[in-house]
Amino acid sequence: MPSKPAISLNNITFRWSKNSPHTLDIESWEVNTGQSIFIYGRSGSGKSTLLNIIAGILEPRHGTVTILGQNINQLKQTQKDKFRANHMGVIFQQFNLIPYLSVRENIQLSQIFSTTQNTTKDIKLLINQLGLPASLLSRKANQLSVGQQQRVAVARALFHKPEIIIADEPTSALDTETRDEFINLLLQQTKENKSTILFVSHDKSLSQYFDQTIDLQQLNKIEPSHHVI
Amino acid sequence: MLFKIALASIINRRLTTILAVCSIAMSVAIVLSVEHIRHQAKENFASTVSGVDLIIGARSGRINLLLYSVFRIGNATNNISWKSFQNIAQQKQIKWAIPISLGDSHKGYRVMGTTEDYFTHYRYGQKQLLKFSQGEKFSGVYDVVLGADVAKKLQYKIGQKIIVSHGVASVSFVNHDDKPFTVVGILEATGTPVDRTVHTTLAGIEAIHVGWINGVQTPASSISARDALKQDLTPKNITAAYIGLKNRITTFRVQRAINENKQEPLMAILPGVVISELWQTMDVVEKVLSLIAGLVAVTSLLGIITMMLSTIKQRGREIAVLRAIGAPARFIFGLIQLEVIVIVLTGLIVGVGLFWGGIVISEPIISSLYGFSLTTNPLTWSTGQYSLIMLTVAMLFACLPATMAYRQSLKQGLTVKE
Repeated sequence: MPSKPAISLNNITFRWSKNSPHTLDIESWEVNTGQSIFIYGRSGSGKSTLLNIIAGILEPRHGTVTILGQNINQLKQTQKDKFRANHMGVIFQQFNLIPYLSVRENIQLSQIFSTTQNTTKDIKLLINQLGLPASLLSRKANQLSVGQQQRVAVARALFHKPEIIIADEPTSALDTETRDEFINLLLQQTKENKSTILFVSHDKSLSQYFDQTIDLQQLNKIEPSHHVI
Repeated sequence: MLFKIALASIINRRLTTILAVCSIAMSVAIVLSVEHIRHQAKENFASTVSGVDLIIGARSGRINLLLYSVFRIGNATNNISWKSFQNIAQQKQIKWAIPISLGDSHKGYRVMGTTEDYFTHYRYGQKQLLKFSQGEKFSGVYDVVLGADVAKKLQYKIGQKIIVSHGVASVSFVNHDDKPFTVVGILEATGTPVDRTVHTTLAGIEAIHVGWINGVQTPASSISARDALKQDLTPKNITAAYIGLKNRITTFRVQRAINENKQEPLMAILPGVVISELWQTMDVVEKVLSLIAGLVAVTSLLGIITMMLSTIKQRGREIAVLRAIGAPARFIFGLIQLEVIVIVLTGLIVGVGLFWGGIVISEPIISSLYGFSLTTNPLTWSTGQYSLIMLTVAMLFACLPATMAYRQSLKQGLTVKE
């Protein structure tokens, strides 16, 4: 299947300011559409920077970032924001939800900045597939357990069927049992969606679930000790 | 959606929101009250006397003449002779002339000798006549009519005998105790110095001073109240006079003629003009009041902004989530702005309500205590103006936390640094 790569980075370098050392230097990296990628990186290995660059929030000093065939360096900041809204779903380590909105409102949030004509998923079905009762929808997000919150975060990330899912240590707040179940659900949903997923973690044992594993320290030519956190 | 999030966010922080709304509401109520009372005071002041075209007195300062003849403050430097008054009163342009004679007091309230015409011609406020709440105007020489405040404070009733003191000090050692006066009438409250005046006849004033030379009673010539009546009680001097003209076009001509009087140094003033001159001398007080009210408003707004600033740091995760779902940084800016606007608007509405309720409740109290009438519909165009100014200032101030949130959202990206 000769499709364009979902993500393609070329000669990317990044540093926070002119006087600070580089924190990221990647010669070339491509991710194929529909793949599930495990990125192994310890703290300070530049993973936050990498994710922010792919999400279009940070601008690399040099190099090109091509997402779904679109060179996002050429976009204006607001266009990048829109691009992110349309094509990406993001899951954080914790606190993914706006605490004072209901679960339903939190899930629907992903749609408000998106301009694609994609039909959204059935919200009840989605929440059931993630193993949560539909009665949870009307609850305030801050009334949920951490495990439930992370699943709602998955629902939000998938709701508008984005092509790319970025998950930044989404399991680090979960215990082993719920963690495995969570990863299975996440990957199953992603696969159903034909989305590409970047899953970042410092826990190497999780790599078994994914199509491909990347060690950020090998990808990034900058030594971790130089990093400014 | 922006509105929904903003609303949910401030409802989530109930306690601080309520406090913020209260602080805005209070300051709005203060600003509006100060402005309203200032405006009303000015109107009340300006309407102390109306329907009097000219006031004449001995030549001195214009404001001085106004102060003693209308506000019962200070003293006349000189009197005008009865003859001059008669001459003026008989001029053909003049419709009525009311002589007044000041200089004595009763328990600190000024006693004013005048004629019965006073009650038919003197007007205040919107050309209102004086009305009697009890009794009627004086007919005998030793009759007095009390202003509303005098009767209320001293708890005087019709028929009561009162003693007039010589001079205007509140404690006088020289009393006209040989010639008591009888209360025959009590006026309704006017909210003007009339309320604090004891009115009596010119003849009465003359009678108590029979046998007095240069303001000192001569023991040899002491004379009883009854005997005094047999004497000629036509005054030789009066303090001032109120003039009503047949045609107001002649005002300046009559004024000039009086000012240029050759027999006696007289002066005529237009009370309305001098009252507004007098008010202008209180400009500073007015401005200071407004300034204080303004500062209260700014302080409360600064409080809101401080509160918002302190929440921005705590809201880092929330901002990161919004950014992750594709919210542009200006959405974050708008969110903070909108939250401030919602709080301030709510505060404004509550504040205007407080102010309105306050005026409605206090109006009868103020009016009965001070005779100071407030309009009960205080919601005017200026209320809207003040609200608009407040909102604009709030939005300007809110740029600070909003910009901070905006910057933070760009800098932190998707990862929140603890």
